[in-house]
Amino acid sequence: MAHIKLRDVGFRFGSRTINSLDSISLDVQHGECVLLAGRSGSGKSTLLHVLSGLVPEYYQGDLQGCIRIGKDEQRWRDVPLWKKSISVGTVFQEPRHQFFSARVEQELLLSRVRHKHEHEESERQLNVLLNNLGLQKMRHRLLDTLSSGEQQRVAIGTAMSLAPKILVLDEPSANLSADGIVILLQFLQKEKAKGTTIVIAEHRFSWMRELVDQLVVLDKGSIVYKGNKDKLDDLVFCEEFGLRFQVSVKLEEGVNSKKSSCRNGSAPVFTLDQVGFRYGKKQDWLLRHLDGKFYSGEVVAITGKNGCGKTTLLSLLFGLHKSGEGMITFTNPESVKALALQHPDLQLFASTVVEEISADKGAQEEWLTRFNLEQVRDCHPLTLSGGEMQRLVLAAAFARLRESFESTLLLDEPTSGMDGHQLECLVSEIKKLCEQGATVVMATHDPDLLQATGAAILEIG
Amino acid sequence: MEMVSRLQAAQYGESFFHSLDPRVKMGLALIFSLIGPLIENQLMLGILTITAMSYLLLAGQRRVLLFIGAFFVISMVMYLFIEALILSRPPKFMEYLTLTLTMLPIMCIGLLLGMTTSIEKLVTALGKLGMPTGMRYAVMVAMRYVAMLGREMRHVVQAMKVRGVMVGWKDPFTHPVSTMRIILIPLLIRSFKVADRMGAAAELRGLSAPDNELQLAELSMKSEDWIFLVTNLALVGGLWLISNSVM
Repeated sequence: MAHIKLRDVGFRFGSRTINSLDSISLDVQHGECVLLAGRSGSGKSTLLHVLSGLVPEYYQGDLQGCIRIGKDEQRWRDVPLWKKSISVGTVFQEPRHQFFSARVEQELLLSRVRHKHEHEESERQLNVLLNNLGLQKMRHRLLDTLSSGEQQRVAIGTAMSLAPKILVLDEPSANLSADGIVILLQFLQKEKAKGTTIVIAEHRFSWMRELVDQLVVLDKGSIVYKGNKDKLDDLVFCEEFGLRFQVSVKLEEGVNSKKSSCRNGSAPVFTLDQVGFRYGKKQDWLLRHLDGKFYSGEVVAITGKNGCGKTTLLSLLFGLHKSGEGMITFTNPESVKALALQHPDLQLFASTVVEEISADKGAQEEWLTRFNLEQVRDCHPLTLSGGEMQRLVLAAAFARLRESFESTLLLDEPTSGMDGHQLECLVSEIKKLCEQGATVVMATHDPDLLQATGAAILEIG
Repeated sequence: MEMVSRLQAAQYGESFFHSLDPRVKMGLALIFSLIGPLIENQLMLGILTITAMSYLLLAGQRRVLLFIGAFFVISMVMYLFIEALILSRPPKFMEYLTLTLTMLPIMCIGLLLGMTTSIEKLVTALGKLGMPTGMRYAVMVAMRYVAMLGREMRHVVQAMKVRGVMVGWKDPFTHPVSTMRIILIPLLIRSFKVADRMGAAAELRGLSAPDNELQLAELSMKSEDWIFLVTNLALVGGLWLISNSVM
């Protein structure tokens, strides 16, 4: 008997006229790992909400069809939401919005205390989670002091603290460094071996190829493919449904060979000379002894473990902070710089989408077209979807540089949550910019972006 | 219960005030809020203020004290500015002082409650005081969000610098509407989204289960809790009586 059985499931959010999910039929066996893929807005997260039970109890709307989870013959939708967490562990994007305690250990114990589990069993489960997720050293740390990747692992631990038989994950690798991804993969492999059914919605799936048993591709709320994962190797299929084409090159490989391709003896655009930074005199150094030369037309990726100071280095390059020691020297101090940070919804200040782009009227329209935003040009920026906001912030940053030579574009995790088509567009724009002589520096964990841009790697931490 | 004890060992601090039952601190806030404003004598109000501030100091909250000090210095400067320059009348120092001394103790005790009580203890205490589960978890989500608000605000300010949206120190006074629009609207919309996600997470963690017996922390009123509460009631009541007899 299938562990998860969906028959003709459809869902429409309360105020909308179009179904977010349409005629979804799916069987997932015990201990199976299912990858939900598809372009942004295809219905992956909504389907995860159906499985977790948030639809239709929390996110209300019209749910049709039959949902059965486990052996229980009682219809899943009739089980109270708070009881569903015993069967299904769920992790969303942005882990820090899922915490209620101050410290790691408390957070991992919270659900078990809530559900009145035995102390010894809870203690054992706590230690298993801490060990398997690489959290043992940070068990007493404040959650707010953890990096986003470490928080992601804690969120997965809290979802598994009740040892549910189903684990539902939405973009679990979005915040993780290469090391974090290895830990996550090992954890999921152990859970799968124990018989836990895993459903993952993910754009970056190169890291989980070994784990996946069934591929489900969604488009406009319907399943367009379910079956063997080998379909991920089909370039035409991936392009048709906005999937990222399978990247087989590992993070550490490939890019170093491209490191000095565009230097040709010219002077660097800027240099780092023994740069160090800490957030306060009593704090430890976050960055120290950083050296580097950045050339016109070059794409450089700053990589490193979660919390190693990648975003801080971008802030130093932009001038948001002053380095505590050493020097950052721009050959042309007047050169234009633009920075696109994470959290796009906090970076939009104009009344319409078109006003966010500081350029003349013709250029504004061109940037909107290049980032596929022309349909929403007169909307308020904060009413856009997450993907659209992200593209708007990027468009505004690109537009700020215009076509000035020796300009510098700084991007902080620009591709989290981006589907294959959007990634392709961004890579194309980055390449155009570099051809015009700009330098692009990105803080990223995304191997697809590194591969596609052929970025040189500056590893810190 | 051992696990509950570990959960409540929030390590926010180790002072006497951290170990007090949250119901005592709520009672203290109630006493200071209800009886404090009835005291009219400035000397008695001063004693009450020093008492409340010393509690914060003993709880290790020096930064909070500095914040309170800065808040009242700024508010006094603004009061003087409005009275003298805008309304063109002599400032009434004694009235302002009385108002300040009335507000300060209440503010200090409110901050003492917030800064020395873990979320788990507060939610459990509210349950013991009869607050329905749904409301308690609304408090839990709200407290968690308040803790995150500072970080969200820093993100907005940083993004303004990055996007070249400059707000100078004069702008909140000269262009209040546009300044509010730039800073508050992104923060407000973000707040709705975060609250929505936290609410969903609370549901999925089983935190909103209809269980009024719910205990996330082990709470019991100890003798020192009672002694502290009664002593403070006597102190504030005494100050009120003396104030009345003097006036």
